[in-house]
Amino acid sequence: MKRAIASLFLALSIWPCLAQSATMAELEARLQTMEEELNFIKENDEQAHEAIGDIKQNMTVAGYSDASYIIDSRDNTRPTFHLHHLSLFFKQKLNKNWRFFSEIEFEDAPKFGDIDTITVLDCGPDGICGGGGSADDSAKTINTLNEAEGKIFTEAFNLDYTWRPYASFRVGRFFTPAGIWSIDHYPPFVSTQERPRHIRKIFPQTTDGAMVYGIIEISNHFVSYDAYISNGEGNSAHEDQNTHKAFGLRLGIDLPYLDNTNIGTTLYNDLLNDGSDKTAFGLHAKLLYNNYEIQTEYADALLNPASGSNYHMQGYYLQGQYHFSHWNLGLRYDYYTQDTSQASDEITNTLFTSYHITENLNVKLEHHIVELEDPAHQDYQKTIISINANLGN
Amino acid sequence: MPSLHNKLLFPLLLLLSLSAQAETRVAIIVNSSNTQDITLQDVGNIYKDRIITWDNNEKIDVYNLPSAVQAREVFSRTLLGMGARSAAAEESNRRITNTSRNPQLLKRERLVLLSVASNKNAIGYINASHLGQKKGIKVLFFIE
Repeated sequence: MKRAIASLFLALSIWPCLAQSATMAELEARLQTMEEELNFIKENDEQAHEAIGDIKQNMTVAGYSDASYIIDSRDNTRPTFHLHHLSLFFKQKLNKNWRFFSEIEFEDAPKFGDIDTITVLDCGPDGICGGGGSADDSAKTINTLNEAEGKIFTEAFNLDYTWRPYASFRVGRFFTPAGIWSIDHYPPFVSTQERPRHIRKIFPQTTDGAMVYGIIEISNHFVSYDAYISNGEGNSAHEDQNTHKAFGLRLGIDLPYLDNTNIGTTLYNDLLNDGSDKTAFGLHAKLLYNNYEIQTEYADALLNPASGSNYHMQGYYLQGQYHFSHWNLGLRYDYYTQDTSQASDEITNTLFTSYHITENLNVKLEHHIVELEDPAHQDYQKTIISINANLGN
Repeated sequence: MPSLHNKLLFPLLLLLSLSAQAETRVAIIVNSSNTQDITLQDVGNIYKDRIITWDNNEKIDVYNLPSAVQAREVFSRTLLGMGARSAAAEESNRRITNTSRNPQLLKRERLVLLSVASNKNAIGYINASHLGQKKGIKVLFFIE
């Protein structure tokens, strides 16, 4: 009798578990079916959009932001919070070949004041104002801001056409393909807020023009290239101020025997608006081995002014990093001179660390020791604590 | 005062979780209609954005997992030579700099399985324990 009661008790205790596991199995099966259906519908929807080149697909909005606290040892500087970047990316895949990309950057939290109306001289199409100008010079009134802080800047705005893996085409404004930091420069993904000093000085930050780029596989070596023609430095988006077009080429090769190693070179030529001919050359290398990362760039520009003697701008840096768990720790030596024949050497030694809360959110601490050869400028040290977020993908 | 039972339970669970991590077996999968010869090196190059099309010039749909998933850590360490977080950061960096030629699609493991099964141009990887008897997929490699 006792055995029968015990068996009954056991059966009653197990029954809810068995019933529950049956329910769970049913639910799981239903969930799987629903996921399969949902996935099927989604895939078909995407394929249908691509097949008909539908432009009604959603535009993706992403971006990044960073804020810093800066302590600078120079006279007349105060520790300050710096709300540096809020950038918004608008991206859209237009069909399977065409895509759009733009970046609107709000730098230093821009704020604009009231509008003032002022009178200026319209210089006419010849660009010469006043007495020497043409007959259509005339006074006109325009609106201007009487106060502005920060800036709003269209950093990138381009259309891409992907033809083959080895040849895609881009037209619009894009980051000048030069070395590493010119492209990989976003605060959530670079080691320091301060960039190496020669970046953006030897090769321009952005370029307005057209580009062909791609990757070619040659017996397990992957060679990437970016070749472009553009208006060149110092020109607005609507007019090239000189007849010469700038052109440039960046080549990179991924080495097969040291995986995650890329070396490359950059070439650039432009006739600047002051009449100087600028020819620049660069080398870059990046190596990631286990938790160690080494990155280096060298760049030299020969400037041939319309009058006066030639001179070189030159810069390079060597940076080493160690990644462990969520942390990065690194050192950088950085050199730049705007004229190799003048006393204008700028040397920066940097120690930095960062903690990655996620792959898209990090906190950085960096200390820079800057030595300036020019006696008119004092040496200084700068410490920056920052938080950087990559928003969306 | 913890009982002997409790004293033993914690190390046992720890040991089990560590052994589970150490033994994460990852299956690299493509659609069953895919007949292309693919090497492990090719898989790495696909996930590094170096190879973006199959031999027939069709674009590869590359499925990836969230960086917190253990299978991604195993996959990234073995084939990409870096941790899952670094690999995810590289992909994010390619997107933000507009240099990604073939952006990856991030999905949970079960959805990677379903997506690869229903998409002839897909490649993905999942913890092998999720494979089950799913039809429509072909396992290229197991890594651990």
